[in-house]
Amino acid sequence: MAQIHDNTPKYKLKLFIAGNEPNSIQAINNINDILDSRIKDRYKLEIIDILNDFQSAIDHGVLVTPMLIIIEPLPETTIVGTLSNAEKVKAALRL
Amino acid sequence: MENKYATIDKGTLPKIPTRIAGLDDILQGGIPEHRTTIISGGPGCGKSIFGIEFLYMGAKEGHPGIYVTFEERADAVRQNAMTMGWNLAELEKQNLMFIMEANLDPKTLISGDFSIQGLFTIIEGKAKAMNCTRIVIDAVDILLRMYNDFSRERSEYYVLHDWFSSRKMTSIMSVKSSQDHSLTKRYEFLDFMADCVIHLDQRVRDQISTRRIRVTKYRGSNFGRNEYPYVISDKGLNIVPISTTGLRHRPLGDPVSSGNIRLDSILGGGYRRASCVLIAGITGAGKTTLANTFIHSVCSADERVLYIGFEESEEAIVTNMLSPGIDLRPAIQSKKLRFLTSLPEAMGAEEHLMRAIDQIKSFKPAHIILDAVSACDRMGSTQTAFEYLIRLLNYCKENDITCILLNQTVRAMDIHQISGMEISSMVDTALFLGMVEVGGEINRMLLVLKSRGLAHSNQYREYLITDNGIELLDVYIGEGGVLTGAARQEQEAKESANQRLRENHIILKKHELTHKEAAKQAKIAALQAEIDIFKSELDALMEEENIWHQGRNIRSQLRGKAKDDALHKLILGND
Repeated sequence: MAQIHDNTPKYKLKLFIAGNEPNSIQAINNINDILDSRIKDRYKLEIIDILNDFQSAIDHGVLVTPMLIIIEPLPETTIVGTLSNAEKVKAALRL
Repeated sequence: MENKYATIDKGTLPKIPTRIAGLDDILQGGIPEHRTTIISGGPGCGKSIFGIEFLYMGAKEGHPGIYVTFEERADAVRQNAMTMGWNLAELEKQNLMFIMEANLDPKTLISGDFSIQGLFTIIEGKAKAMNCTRIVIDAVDILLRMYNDFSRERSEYYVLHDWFSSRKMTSIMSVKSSQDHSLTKRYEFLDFMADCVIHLDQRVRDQISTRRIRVTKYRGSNFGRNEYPYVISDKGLNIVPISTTGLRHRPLGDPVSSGNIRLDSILGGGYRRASCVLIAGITGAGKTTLANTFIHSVCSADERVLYIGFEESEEAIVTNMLSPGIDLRPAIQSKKLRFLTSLPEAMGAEEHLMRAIDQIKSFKPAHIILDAVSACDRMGSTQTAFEYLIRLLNYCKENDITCILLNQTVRAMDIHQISGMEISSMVDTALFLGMVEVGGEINRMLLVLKSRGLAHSNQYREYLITDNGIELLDVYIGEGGVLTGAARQEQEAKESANQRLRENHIILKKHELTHKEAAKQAKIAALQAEIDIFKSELDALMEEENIWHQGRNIRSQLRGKAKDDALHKLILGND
């Protein structure tokens, strides 16, 4: 399929972190690396610190951190951990 | 209950009562406050109910609680609770309860290290908002299994444990145990780390399930160390702890009539109140009749009786008892007699026990009848039946209730068998109903084997089941002990033989006399007859003679008397 609107964020992600927990910092760095190297400007990543917003942790069932939820493309996929395995994350993003 | 344990709490470990029936007795107050309690058990043994009940009971008293479910949907938890009559949604509205659905999507990918900070954050956030210190995690093994790394599970559990403790939270965590020992062993460390460990166990033996609860560990506190049966009733978990001080024997009460005056005299006054009476015997010996004789008597005296039957239905018992003249219907109508009948196989021993105790609590009988001890075996094993009986008897003893136990023995005259289930030590009065075959007929025999605290007869008595109930015959002490039936009659006949012989002799003599009288009369009659005949013959002859004389006169007249006279003159001389 041809990409019609290049600027429309095709990738919609939510990353749940817990403050400055080392795991969370690593996850932020890892996901940014992957996204920037492959789909720069075509994604929308929302980073949510559950320590400041426990309600969204309840809403999304975030029991463990860090947790990445790939909302788009469907189907919704969840990856937990520091996202250190770039290949696994890319596969989940279908990149 | 708080007062009961107030002295224990002071200076030792602060505890939170669970308000789960019976459990606080075993835990001597409740679970440790601000600490972690582990509930382990296999599937279906009630771990979830345990946790929900703890939170529900607490919430009802104004202590908010958080329930984290890893296995079920929150709606399912609410629904399950509703079957026990616990309205969790209502409590949620009042901010006294929070059900957190923590379903881990099995499709979740894992890439790199993670922590359960999310869970902590949610709990902490909610706990602060609700001012809550009670947490239940069901089941913690699912949470830990995410790590899929044994040493990591261990350290994470420690984090969890520490986290709750540092925040002064009282937590209950359930963990699955199973037949699979590798799994059980994997979470064995939880038992070491927790402050209090409670094992729930469900066993199925002979297709009947029995549930047991056992506290295996309680840091800083004493606890009941036995295995206690429990049931999951429609009111939640119900644990039946046998008194931890053991069987308390209370003094026996006054004698109460057995319903049969003669039996009372044999027993030395009757059955004792609050005692345990065992009536043993083979089928058809009259155990039920004897028990119902008692029921009829005490119910007429306005006392209540609970009949726990495993053999027959209420209708069958009532109908059968009409034959020996015992009408139970007025007692039932006046609510003095209540039946609790069921098949032993219908449920586990614990449920039978709970039903019985529930009935005793609500009906408050002065006496119970258990028909029959022998049927209890069918609740599962001999062991479960034994525990059922011991607990029931113990409960009755503690509540001053007379227990009449019926026991069916297989052989007609087997004294060793009669106590049944090794409960003989609890039995205060033992009656044996036997049938003996003497001289080709079956006779019913009653023997009082034991009548604690009362002077009783130790002789066999013959008894009959008549239209008017049980009738005990006089004891007969002969040369060969007690005689029954025809043998007894024979002996009695021998005893009266001489008298009868004499009587017969007199009768015989009387008869002889009558005969003689009759003979005399007959002879008189015969002679009279002879005389009469003689007389009549004589009369006839005399009549004949008269007629002859008359004839001669007529003939002589006819021949001419004158001629004769002249001739006579001639012969005798001419004048």
